Amino acid sequence: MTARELFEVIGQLDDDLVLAADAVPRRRARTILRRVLPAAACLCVTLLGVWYLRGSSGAASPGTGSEAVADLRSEGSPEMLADAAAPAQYAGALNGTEAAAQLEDNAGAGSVSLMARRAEELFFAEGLTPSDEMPVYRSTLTEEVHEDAMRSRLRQVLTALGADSAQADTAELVSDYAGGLDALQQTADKLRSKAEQYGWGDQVLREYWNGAARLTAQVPVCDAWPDGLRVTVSNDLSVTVQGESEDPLLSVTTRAGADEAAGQAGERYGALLSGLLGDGYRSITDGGDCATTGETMSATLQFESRPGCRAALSLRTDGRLASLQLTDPPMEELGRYPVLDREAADRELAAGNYVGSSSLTAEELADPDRLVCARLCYRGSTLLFPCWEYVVDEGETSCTDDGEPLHSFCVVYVPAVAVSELAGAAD
Amino acid sequence: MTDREIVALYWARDEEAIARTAEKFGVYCRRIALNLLGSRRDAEECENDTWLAAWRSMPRNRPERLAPYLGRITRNLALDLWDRQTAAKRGGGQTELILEELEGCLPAADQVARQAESAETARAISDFLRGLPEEPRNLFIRRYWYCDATAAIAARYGISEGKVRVTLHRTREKLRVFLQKEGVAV
Repeated sequence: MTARELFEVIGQLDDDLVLAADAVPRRRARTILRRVLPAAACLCVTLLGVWYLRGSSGAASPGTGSEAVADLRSEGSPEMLADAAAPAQYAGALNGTEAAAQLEDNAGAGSVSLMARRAEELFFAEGLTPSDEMPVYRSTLTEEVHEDAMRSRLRQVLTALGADSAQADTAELVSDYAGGLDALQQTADKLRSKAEQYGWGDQVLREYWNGAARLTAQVPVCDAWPDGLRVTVSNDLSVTVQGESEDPLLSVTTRAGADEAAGQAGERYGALLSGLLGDGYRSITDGGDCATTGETMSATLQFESRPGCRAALSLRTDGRLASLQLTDPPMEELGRYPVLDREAADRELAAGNYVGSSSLTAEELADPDRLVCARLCYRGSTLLFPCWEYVVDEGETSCTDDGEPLHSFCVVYVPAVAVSELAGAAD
Repeated sequence: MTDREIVALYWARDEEAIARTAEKFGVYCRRIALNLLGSRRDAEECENDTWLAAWRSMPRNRPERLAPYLGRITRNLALDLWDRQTAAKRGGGQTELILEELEGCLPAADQVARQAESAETARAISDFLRGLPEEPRNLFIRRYWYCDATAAIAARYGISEGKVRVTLHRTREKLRVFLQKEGVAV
């Protein structure tokens, strides 16, 4: 099979997958650096999708539809094959626990988080200052359509954008799911039944409800927003703002560049950010991770005012807003809990008590010479709790950037509070 | 107007179907074509050809959802146009880069004994994608179905472009291993 044939085959992917990828993205609580999740945990959750959704395709394909001749070539890479079947002992002992389930939104992206030619290229926002006790938060989102809260959020965003907030009252509530709004509860019930039958976690239902409905409003072209904007609020109250333009995006490659861009964005969009995040927000932009082609990366500038409340901005080269994602799920404080200090967290890491996977052993992960960043931050989904986040250099990969080998950097977590004791509170 | 109503117009051979389709799916299809071809003029040509192809194909087919149906037509037409253009000169769209990236997923010829039926392979890849977490799955489809530039994907999801590329790279590797195990050409 040639690449061309493979491309054509991909054109025949199931309709529901294609439509889902075109839905307005939902922004979950996470950092720009995404985390690692053990393959087993991913499989456990996503198998539900495979099982439940299988057979939902079948729309006619107007394209090629013909048999493809298998002219398959070898692009094999022993390293990559090895990576795909990483030894179990290289996965954290906390994988599969409640802590891992809570970190899944942050840790679900794959087996390696970052790539760069060298560690010095990466930069990270400052972590939180540890204290003896820190609050843990719990999501108050329920399994239903939150129409009132969605309208309230849309009103907040339109006001922050200086647009007509009355649209929040008239925007049509829609669902992109098959069957529309009327079928949501019925499908959720079936999904819950499958989840219980096969022992899958709550994430499937959570994800289902998060994207179950949306409200959309348009901000017309004006001096402030020369491209016009489309504002979408999802059922998890996350917000996506997109400008209609295909002009190039602003790129940054260094910490200094990111700081400068964040400063300019803060100046230009200060009122917007204050309106969305409240006062006292700070830049939490991470970056410096490069890719396999050596091209400049577009920048995503991140701002946060409190745990779980953050905005990610992409700008055009002239500073116009390209997109904005706001994450601010409704949370309540569960209580204050004793926090593991850094030394204790280091010991846990060395003992293998972490969430994530890596090609390194626990001992290697704890090697100070490999450590790129260790910081305290809030992570989670239904529970938002402090974690120690470690970014560790795994060494050179088989990928190259213009001939120069790239290093892969894994990200693993040591929960800073005893999440297992809070598990019941997440429900 | 709902998809079903538009399809009914096609089946009734009502030319209004084309106007309604263009109104509802014009931007959607034009963007796919633009991603592949890198030329607004060519993208518009593809878009117009899509309506014609839909008109011709619809009496045989009754798609439930028009977006992927029309998107596939646009994709195929754009690829055909790209083929013709490439014969003379390579354009500035994403096609070449996308095909280069996909080459890395292909299993070794000597490990595959028979030809693939493309629809079955597409089903297998769909199943593979369902086994991925939501984000890498959508990133893959945005890149290789919608043919979005990596920068556009990064902006869409509010993540770094590096993250997009690394995730795509990993997903391609996993897909290659998966296809190898499946013996693709299944």
